[in-house]
Amino acid sequence: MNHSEIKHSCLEERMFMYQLFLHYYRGDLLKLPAAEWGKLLEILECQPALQSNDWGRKAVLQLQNMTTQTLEPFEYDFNRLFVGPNKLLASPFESSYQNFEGTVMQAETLKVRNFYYYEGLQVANEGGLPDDHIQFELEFILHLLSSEKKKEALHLFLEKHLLKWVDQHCARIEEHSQSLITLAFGYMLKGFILLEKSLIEGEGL
Amino acid sequence: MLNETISRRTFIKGSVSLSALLGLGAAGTQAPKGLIPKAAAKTNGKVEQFYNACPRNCYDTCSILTTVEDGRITFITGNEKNTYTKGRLCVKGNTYPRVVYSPDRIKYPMRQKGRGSGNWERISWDEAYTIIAKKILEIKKEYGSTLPICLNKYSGNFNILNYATEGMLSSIGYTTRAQGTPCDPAGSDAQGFDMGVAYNNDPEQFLDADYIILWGANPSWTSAHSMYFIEEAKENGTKLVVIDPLITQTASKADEYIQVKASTDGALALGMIRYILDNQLYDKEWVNQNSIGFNEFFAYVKKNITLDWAAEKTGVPKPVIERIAREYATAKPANIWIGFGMQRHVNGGAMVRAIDALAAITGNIGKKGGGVNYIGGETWGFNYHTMSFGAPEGSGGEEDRFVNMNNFGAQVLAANEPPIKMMWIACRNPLAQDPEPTVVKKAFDQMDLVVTADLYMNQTVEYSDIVLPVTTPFESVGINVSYWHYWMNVNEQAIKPLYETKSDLEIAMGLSKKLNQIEPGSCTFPVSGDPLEWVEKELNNDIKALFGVKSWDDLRKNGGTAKANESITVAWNDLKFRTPSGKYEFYSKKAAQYGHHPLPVFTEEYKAPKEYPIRCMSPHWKFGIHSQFQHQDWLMAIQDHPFIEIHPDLAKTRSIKDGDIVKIINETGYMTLPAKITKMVPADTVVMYEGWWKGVNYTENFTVKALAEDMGEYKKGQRGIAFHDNFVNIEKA
Repeated sequence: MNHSEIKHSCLEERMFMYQLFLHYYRGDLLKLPAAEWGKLLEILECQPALQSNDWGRKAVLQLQNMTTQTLEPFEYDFNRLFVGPNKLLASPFESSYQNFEGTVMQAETLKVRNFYYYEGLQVANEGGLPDDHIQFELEFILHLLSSEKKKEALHLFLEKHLLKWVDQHCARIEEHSQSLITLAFGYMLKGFILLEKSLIEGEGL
Repeated sequence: MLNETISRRTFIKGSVSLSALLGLGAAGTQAPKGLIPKAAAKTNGKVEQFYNACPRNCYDTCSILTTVEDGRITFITGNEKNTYTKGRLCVKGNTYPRVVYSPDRIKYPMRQKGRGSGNWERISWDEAYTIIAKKILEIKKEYGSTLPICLNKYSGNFNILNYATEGMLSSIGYTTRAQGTPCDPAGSDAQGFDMGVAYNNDPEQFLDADYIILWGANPSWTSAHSMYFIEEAKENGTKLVVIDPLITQTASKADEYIQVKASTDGALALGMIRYILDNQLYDKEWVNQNSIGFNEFFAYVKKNITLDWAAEKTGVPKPVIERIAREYATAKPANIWIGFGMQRHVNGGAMVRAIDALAAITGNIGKKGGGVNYIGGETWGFNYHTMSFGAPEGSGGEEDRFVNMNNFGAQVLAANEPPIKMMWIACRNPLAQDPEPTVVKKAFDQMDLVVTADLYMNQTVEYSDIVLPVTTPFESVGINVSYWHYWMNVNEQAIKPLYETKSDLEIAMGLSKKLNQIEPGSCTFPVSGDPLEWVEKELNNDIKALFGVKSWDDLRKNGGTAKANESITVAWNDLKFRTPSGKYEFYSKKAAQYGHHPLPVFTEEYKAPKEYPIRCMSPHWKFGIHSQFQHQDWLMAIQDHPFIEIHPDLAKTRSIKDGDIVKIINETGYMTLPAKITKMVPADTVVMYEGWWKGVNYTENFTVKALAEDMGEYKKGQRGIAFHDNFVNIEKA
């Protein structure tokens, strides 16, 4: 298999996965009714990105074991990990990992903001929300993915930002997750990021 | 690598299905809450400076200069235009950027499913207001008034605009209020009986003192900016004496340290008075012209007080008492600073009256650089506009009902007709700070709804139903003054509020709006308003004249800080006391009215029970203010666990070594923590610093009974708690 084949066939798939994670971190899945989770699982079961590595398969397996009882703690656990009001167990902010003191809105955040500026974008509530929340980084990646011309910027952003910290983020999820769903999404993200790294290395950019 | 057998069609199907499933458009650049096209005018590198005010319950109430780059705080320092702050912040103040930008702040309104369960769901402000408003109206309907709603708010943020919370509660009807103060009640009553009100000299006047006694105060830890003036005075030849049961960091800086047995300070003052009277060192003219009851007091001292008795009672050798009495009486002016800790005893108020009398007979009151300095409120004459709206028409009840903040749990449980069913907690952490926390928890258990507004998770938030995220001082406007120095500090909004945080004022307006939507006329608090207009309304002509400012905005534009004029900075300079007689009252009928001896007599200290012979004191910690700053990892990096200080002689009797885990116990509760063996504490006393709650399942108050101080009702409505009359036993765990 040559790399150009991978690139061509991966685009839609990558977009799907980034969309999935964006929805997840934006909290869109928190209110998904129990019946709809079955449909979501069906969609996930036929995603090649998930079937192609151990972490993805493990995640799907986790979700296949889901019951209505496992749904209830999902939101609480999601909040414990990413929202609060307690100390965050797996902060969703890049600067929590990149800044040497783990503080938000630092120089690391500004670098992310500048990347958005370069592409003519900004966080809607700039200054009110740290620009390096994973939700915004995922949305930005989707924006870059949508155009072949932005490939270089995309790879630069991935290398300088998301791929630099998301492994640590996933490790914290694995360590602290108490819900089958948050753990499954942690696995999914970890597996998908491995693919992204592999893809970028393969492209030699 | 990717599985190539899956067709491209499957991906597309997946994407579409995902969006359909979630009822959303494809998540791209136009997704809600996310990224938008950049505003054309945006540029980097914009640097601005703002004035802020530290609003914590601290003597120093600093003026802060905040540097903001690209909308982010990058540096803070003390405002050099404020001669008390002097361009420097304390160790706690310097952590403020971390307070603002820690990822662990409370960010959104949240509801806990099961109080104490840790199961939190995020809700919108509208949902939060709706839940709260409906409960308020339901309670009002069921009980015929809003008295079952209890506000417990105090000192976490002294921004004048934060009184909006009290105002909002007053605007729904008559409610129950946690009244009183854990800080200064007995001492404030004492000074109220003697002089009419507690009123201190400007602390910058330490430079004008010839002799300074820091009596039960440890400003090296609790008022770092005062230490500059004290140390400068010492450098200029002023003698510094520290009287304290504990060898504090301030004691280590003194010319002379006098270790007094706890709760016998009144005996020491009376012993000094006896010496001064016997040796004719008192200021006869001052006493004759400015006081009443001196002869009665003189007679009491002659009859009841001897130096031998004072020496035995206090543990201070007679020659030392004689010498410091002589030095104090002959220094002009001599300055006494009475710490709050000194009066946290069952005889605390009486002790402060005795020390006041010492200052009065030597004519040190009303003198620049002198005084018997405790606390003051001369600069607090704001309009308190946020509290001015009153109960709506038809509110049930006739007036607010009060429970003692210092015995909160028990009094909430005891309240009936109507019972208390809802709590609003702001600027307080009662589950960590109150005595008998298990009783406080029981009171929480009785509530239908507990709402807490806070910056960070703490024990009280953990046990609440709804938490409302509040702004830091840098994200809202305000105005602050001190209960110690004479400066007024502007607080500008330096940055946008992070996440969905709101100020107490905004919360008050938001809740009022919701209440009035559901039931028109149910809340008189305004439903909208620019905080800048609100803050301007706090300044009246008197306060403007006192500080020489035209407006809040004028002060903002001119350095952000202003000092009150000299007409008030020397306490009692006009010698017109605010007592019934207009004189200094050694003999106070008002005191008698409140059930106390009319004279500043010695009142016996609380005696240790046989089973619990060791006094456990809980003075303030250097890296925190009550339970605040505990969440600060910068400060936790210096000291990350509590400990108990034990004298080696005491430790030896129980085979306790440094670092051993010890159990502290009495009839109220127990806790286990590491021992620190030190000669800084007396052999009959152990010390556990106040406000520690993080990382442990107890607080220093686990063994503190709701034992009342002798005074507090006159000026504060309620007596305080004798926190330092906490007797325990210890053993190796």
